[in-house]
Amino acid sequence: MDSMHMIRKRFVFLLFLTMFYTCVIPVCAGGMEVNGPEYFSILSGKYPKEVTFTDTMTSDSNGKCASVMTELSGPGVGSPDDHVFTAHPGERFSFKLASPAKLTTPFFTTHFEEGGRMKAVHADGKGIYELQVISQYLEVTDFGFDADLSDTSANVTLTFTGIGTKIADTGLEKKPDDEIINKNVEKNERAVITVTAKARASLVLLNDLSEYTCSSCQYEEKNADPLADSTAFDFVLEDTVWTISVGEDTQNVSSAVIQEYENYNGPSGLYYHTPAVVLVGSDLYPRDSLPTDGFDYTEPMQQNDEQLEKNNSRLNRLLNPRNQEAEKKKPSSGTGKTKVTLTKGSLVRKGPGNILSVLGIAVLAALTAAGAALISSASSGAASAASGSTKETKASGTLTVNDGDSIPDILAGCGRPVSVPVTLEGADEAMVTWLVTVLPDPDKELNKRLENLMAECAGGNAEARLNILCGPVSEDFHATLRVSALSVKDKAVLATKLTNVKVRTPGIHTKKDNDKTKVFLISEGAVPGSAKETELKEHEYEVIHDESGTAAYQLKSAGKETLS
Amino acid sequence: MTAILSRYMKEHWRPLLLMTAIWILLELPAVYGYQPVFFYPLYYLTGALSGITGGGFLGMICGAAARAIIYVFFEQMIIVLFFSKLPMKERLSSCGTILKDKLIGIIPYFKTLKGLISNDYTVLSAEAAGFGTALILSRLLSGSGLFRHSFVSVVLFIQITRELSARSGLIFSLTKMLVRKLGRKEPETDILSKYLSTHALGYVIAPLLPFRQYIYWIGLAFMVIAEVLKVLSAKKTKQ
Repeated sequence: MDSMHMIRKRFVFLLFLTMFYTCVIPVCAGGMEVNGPEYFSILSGKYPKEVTFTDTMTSDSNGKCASVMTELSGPGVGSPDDHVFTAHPGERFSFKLASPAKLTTPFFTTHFEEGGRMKAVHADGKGIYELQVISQYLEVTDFGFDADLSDTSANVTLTFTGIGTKIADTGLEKKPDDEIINKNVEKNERAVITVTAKARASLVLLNDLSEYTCSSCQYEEKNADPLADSTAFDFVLEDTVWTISVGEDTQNVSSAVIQEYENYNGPSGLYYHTPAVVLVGSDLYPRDSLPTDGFDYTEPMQQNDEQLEKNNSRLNRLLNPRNQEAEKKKPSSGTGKTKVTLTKGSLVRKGPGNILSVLGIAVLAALTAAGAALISSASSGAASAASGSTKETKASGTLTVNDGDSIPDILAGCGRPVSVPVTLEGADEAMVTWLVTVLPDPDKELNKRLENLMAECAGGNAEARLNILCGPVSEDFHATLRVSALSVKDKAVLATKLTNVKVRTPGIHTKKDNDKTKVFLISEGAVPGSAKETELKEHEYEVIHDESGTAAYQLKSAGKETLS
Repeated sequence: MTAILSRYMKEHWRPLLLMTAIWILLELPAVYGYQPVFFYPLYYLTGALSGITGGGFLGMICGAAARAIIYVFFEQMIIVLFFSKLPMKERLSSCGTILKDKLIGIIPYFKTLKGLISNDYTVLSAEAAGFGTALILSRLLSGSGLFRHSFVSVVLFIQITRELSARSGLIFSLTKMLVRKLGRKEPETDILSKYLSTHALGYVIAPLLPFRQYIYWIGLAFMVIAEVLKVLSAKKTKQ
C-alpha cells in the first residue's frame, strides 16, 4: 500500500513538473507566440495563393516614411508609381528599388562599406577598394513564383554609384597587398560597380522585425508585433557578371575578386541582402489541394527515396541556404491573405554566425556571472539575516576570523575593502552560506556612521573571505561585526563569531599626551584598504592658528589636513 | 579585486562551468537556426539567447549581464543540486527550500503596494525615477526586448522585493551608494524603498507592455516626469 502511495505521489509530482515545463514556462517565455508562421507553413508545403507586396518602411531626412520602390510593372499594376502589387502564381513582375542619398536609413546605402559582404572589386589590374556609396539601385525583372514556389527566379541588376576613395591601377592580375594598393592609390573618382545576375528568392526567418523597419513608420499590420519573428525573402545572386567603371572608363570584369562576401553556397554564389520581403499574413493552400505530387513535408521519413530526393531538390531551391538547418516545427494553419512587405532592412541573420563568437559571449557571460556572484554572495546572506530567516544555532563548528588575529583598522573612504580569511572548522555540513551583520548601536550618531560600513563574506563553503569597506566618515569609530556560517540546507547557524573593527578617517590626527600634542598621519597601510598610523615629527608638519585660536595642522609638503 | 575574483573562481568554478556549458549548448544550435520548442523554457530560464538574437553589440553586452544575474539567482541551487554530496532527495528538498526562501520575499512586497500612492512630490519623483529606470534596464537586459528573453526581469523583481523586506542586500546597498554619490547626501530610507518598490514593479510591467519597441522612450518619459516632480518638490519646500 505504501509503495503504491509513493508511486502515485511521484507520478503526480512528475505530472505537475511536466505540465509546468511544457505549459506554464512556455507561456511565460512567450513560447505560445507564433514565430514566423508562414515560414514554417511554406517549409511544410503550404504555399500562398497570392502574395501582396507593400513598399514602405524607410524614412527620408525629415523622418517621414519614404519609398524605396521607384518603378513597378506587371499584371494588374496601374501605374509605375504604384507601391503595392498582388502577385498570383505564374505572374511575373519587374520593379526597381533605389536608395538615393535623400533617404537616411535604407540599409543598403552603407552596404558596400559596412555590410561586410563586399569590400573590394578587383580585376584586370584595376580595383575599387573603397567606395563611398551615394546611391544603390536594385533592378529586379521577371520576378514571380509558381504555385508551389518552385520557381522564384528573377533577373537582377545591382548598381552601386559613388565616389571611389581608394582606386588603384596596379596592372597586377590578382588583388595586390594593401601596401602596393596604397602606393598606387587614386582618390575621389566617380565610380560605378554593376552586378548583373540570375537570382532566386529564398526564404529567411527574421527575428526582430523592428530592426528592418523604419522606427518612425507605424507597422501596418495592427496586430503584428514588430519584435516578433517574421518571414522574408532574400535574393541569392548566381552567375554574376561584374562591371566596374571609373570616371568615363567602363570595364567588363571577367574575374572579379570579391573579398569578404558572405557566401553560404560555395564560391560560385554571391549572397546579396535585398530589401526584405516580409510576409505578414497568410492565406495558404490547404495541404490536400496542393498542386504538387502530394508529398507531405512534415513526414519526410515515410516517403520513398526517389520522391524524397525529388521534393528535397525543390525544397533546396526554395530554401535559403542559411536556413537549411532551420527549425522543423509543425506547420501552423493560416487563414488570412499573404502580404509581403518590402522594407528597407537587410536580411542579415541576427546573432553571431560562428562558434568562436558564441564561445566568446559565453565566456564573457561567465566572467560577469562570477563577478556578480562574488559581489552578491554576502549580500544575500545579509538580506536573509535581516529578514530573520535564520534558525537556531546548531553550534557544530568553530569559526576563525583572520586566522585568529585582529582585523586591521579600516581606512574610511579609500574605496578598497580590507579582505581577511574566515574559516569554519569541525562543522558537520559542507554546504555553508556566510552571513555578516554590522551590529547596531543605541547611539544614534554612531548608527549613522555604521550605515557607511559594509561587510560581506564571499565564498560558499568552509572557507570564505570577509570583506569590509567603509565610505567617507567624519570621525573614527568602532563597530562590531557578527560573522555567521549557516547551513545551506536549513539555514541553521553552524557557528558565530563577534569581531571588532576600527574605522579610521584619513589625514592628520592629534592626541594629547601629558600636555604634549602628538600628531599622527592616517594613510593606507600595506594591507589594501587598511589604515596605517604614522607619528609625524615636528619638522614634517606645521601648525597654523586662526583668529579664534584654533590650531590647524598641515603637512609641510602638502595642503591643510585637519583641525584640532 | 582580480585576486579576490581568481580566489572565488578557484572555489566556484564548477557551477560556473556547468552553467556556461548549458549556455553554449543552447546557444550554438540556436544561432545555426535550430531552436526546438522543447528548448524554449530553457532559453527563458537560463537567458541563453539574451543578446544573441538581436540587440546588436549593446544587446550582447547586456545579455551577458542578464545571464550573470540569472546565474547568481540559481547559483546556490546549482551547487546543492549538482555538487552536493547529499542524497538526491535532500538535494531536491534543499533546492525547494532555497527557492521558497527566494520567493517568500514577494508576499510582503504586495502588501506595501498601496503605500506607493502619495501626495508628496519627492516620493512621487523617486517612484517615477524607479519605474523609468526599470523599464529601460529591463529592455536593455533582455537584449532584444523580446518577452521570451525577459526572465532576468523576473529575477530582478524577486531579488529587489526580497531586499526590500530585509532593507539590505546588494541592490539596496548599491542604490543607496549611488543616490549618496549623485545627491551628495545620505538618502532617506523611506524614499529609497519607494524608489526600489516602483523599480521592482517596472521589471514586472516592462515585458508586458504592448509597445515594447518604444520602451526606452517610455522609460525616459518617466525620468523626465521624475525630474519635473523633483523641481516642483523643491519649489514647494521653498514656499
